[in-house]
Amino acid sequence: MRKKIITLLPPIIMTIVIISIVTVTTYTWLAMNEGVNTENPEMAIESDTYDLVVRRTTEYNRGIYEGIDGLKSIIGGEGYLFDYDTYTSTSDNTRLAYEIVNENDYEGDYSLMPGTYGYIDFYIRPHAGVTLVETTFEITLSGFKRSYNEVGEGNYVLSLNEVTDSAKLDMLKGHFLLFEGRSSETVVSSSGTVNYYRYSDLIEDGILEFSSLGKAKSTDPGYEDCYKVTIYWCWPVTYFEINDHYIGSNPEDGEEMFPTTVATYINNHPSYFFATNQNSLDPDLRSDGYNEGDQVIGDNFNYIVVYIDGTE
Amino acid sequence: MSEKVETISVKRLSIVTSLILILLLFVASPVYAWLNTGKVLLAYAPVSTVSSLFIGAGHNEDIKYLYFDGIDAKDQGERYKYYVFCISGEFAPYYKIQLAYTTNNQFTYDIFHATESNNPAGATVSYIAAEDGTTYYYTINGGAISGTYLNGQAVGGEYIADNTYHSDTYGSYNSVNKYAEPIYWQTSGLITGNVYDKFTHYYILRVYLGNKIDNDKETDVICIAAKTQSGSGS
Repeated sequence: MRKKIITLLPPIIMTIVIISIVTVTTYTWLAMNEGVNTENPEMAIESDTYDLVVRRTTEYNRGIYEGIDGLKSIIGGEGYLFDYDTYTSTSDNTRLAYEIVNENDYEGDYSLMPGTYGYIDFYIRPHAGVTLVETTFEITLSGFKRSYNEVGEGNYVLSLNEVTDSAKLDMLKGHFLLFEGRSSETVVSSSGTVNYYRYSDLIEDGILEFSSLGKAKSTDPGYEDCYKVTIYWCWPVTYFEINDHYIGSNPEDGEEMFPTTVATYINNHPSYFFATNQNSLDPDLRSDGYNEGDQVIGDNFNYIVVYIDGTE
Repeated sequence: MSEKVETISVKRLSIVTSLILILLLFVASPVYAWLNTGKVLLAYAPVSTVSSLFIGAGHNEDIKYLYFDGIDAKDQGERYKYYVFCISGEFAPYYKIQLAYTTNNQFTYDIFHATESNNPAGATVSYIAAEDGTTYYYTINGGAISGTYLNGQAVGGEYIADNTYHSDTYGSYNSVNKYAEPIYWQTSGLITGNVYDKFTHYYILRVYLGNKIDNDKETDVICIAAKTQSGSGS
């Protein structure tokens, strides 16, 4: 028996080595973005049913993302392309990057801060012959922080690094809320007519289900063959903006902004919303914790990024 | 004979096993790789980082050393008082300076860019560093920084605040003396910081006493703030 095992060992070891080398090589080649055509029939992509298409053509703040250690340099190194005019579809490049739309600016400054809101949209273009698209998008919130790293006595190198601390990343999930729906509402009060947004269908824990069944295609020119997906984001300015404005709660100012699923989400994930007083149900203590959470984000993120993974 | 048969069987088994494994390999690898060819979008935006600017005293010392001593308006020789402060930070591309002040004394305020040196010649104001007692001198650079009053109004020869920001300042409390309603002012344009590195900028706050000759028991509050901005929209 021992002789048999010894005799079999060389071919088995050789096979494992061959498996490892070929697997890594093939995976690496296919995971590379440049020059990889996801429609290559040799790779049996028949089950790959759609491409993602981006229409965003401008940025608010050209210039702040550039530089040796700029955000675009870092992300570009991971295979993302930014040329909005040329790379607009994942059939061109499987990784595309573009700027978040911020609809609320402070004197022309479109940086994200408490009280801002906007959207991220893209299109799903079914491949020829595909009549039904059903997929799950995984949405991950992350960010980058600049820091000085000491490389020698008194010598520092400036670098931009992706935030990895889970507690800090969790704070984004509660302050940068994502919704599938939003409607424009009006309320008349003693101070006049107020327009505000009402949100619906909270995206919890980064899962966005999509089905084209029953959905109409986009009417946007040039995108009539696509389904449009819009993710609405909102960074509530205070805890009370959420807590005092649930739909159906008849708030004093009449602005019913958030679905009650947000309340459940808060209670199930206090660490997403409060940097302190996570175990408290007292609104004032929660408000303090929420403000501290804003501070955590401000102290630890120079950029927020949202990954929308449509891998089938 | 039986040993020879056994050897041949083992060899055959080895070869067959190897072939099966290699075949599985060529089927599994493309499928696995195909399953992982991702379509990923990345949406990004800058965060307005609140802690990237600091206000300090002369020679970039801590704000606790920023001291506005009492002003005696009876001193007719000096109608202007000068105070040095600094704004330091890192990774802030632009910023604005903001003032908020009450109007009991009807003083006016201007802010100037300033240069620090060890040479007293031509200096407007000096500062003694708390760290080591060294005296630093600050000279005004150019004219007053232009700014905008957000809620000022001229009433009966005085310049006081209107009610634009009353609720932001005092909420629903309405028993507020008109001079206690602060005026808000901020620089008109953006001041360039440094998006890639640390920086320290010195400023001189000039207080003009105007025609006031007596300010016994009259107190004003003045706040200096700075706000980062990433830049104007494209």
